[in-house]
Amino acid sequence: MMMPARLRKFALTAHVATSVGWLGAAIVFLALAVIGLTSQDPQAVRGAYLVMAPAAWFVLVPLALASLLTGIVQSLGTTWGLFRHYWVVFKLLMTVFATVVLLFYMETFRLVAGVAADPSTDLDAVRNASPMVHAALALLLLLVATVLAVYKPRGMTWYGRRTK
Amino acid sequence: MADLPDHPARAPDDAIPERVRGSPPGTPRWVKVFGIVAISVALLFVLLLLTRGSHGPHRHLRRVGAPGMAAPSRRP
Repeated sequence: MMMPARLRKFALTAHVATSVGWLGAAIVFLALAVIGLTSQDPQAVRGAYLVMAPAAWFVLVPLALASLLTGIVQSLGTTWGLFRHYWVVFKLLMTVFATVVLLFYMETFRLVAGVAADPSTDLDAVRNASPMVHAALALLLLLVATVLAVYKPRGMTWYGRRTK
Repeated sequence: MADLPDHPARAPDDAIPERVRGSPPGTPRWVKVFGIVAISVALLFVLLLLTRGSHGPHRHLRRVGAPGMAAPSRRP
């Protein structure tokens, strides 16, 4: 179903805003993870890991779900379709993958925050490379998705060629 | 995920779907490269799982259950 031009603009704005917002949030999480790993201030280290879980619930998860949802709406509401073009399919798969991994990773955020909350835990045990690795990989994935969305490389899927 | 220009005169060529601008036959090279990279990453992940064990939340923690480790809070 094709969306009217005004609605399409609105949907596109929502999709760009949520997707770029997710990218920005991933950069902030990468910064928090680096602070947690490298800061010499014990409060900053513990604070970085403590804030990750609630910030992820309030920012990362809503933005990821909103980006996925608005992307699907945007695809289905335009002639691009969801499975007609390779770049749309790849972007969809990457977004779904990143969202699923994020939802599973929420448990890790909770555990890491639990360790950081215990004042008797040694600071070296609080420091954890996992959030940095995951934030860096998420950032890479989101950057690739952004490049795909901007360049829209040519190529129609078998389904797209059949339904042309 | 996808957008269409509502004003074709202002639209760059790459914003127009193939069915408008003409699609080359066969699978593009960039798709093959993407596929190879995706399969390689998946295989690497499976290999890591097989050699290093499961990849769950507890794997991301150091010395889980060691003395001094806090019981994680249930709240987000």
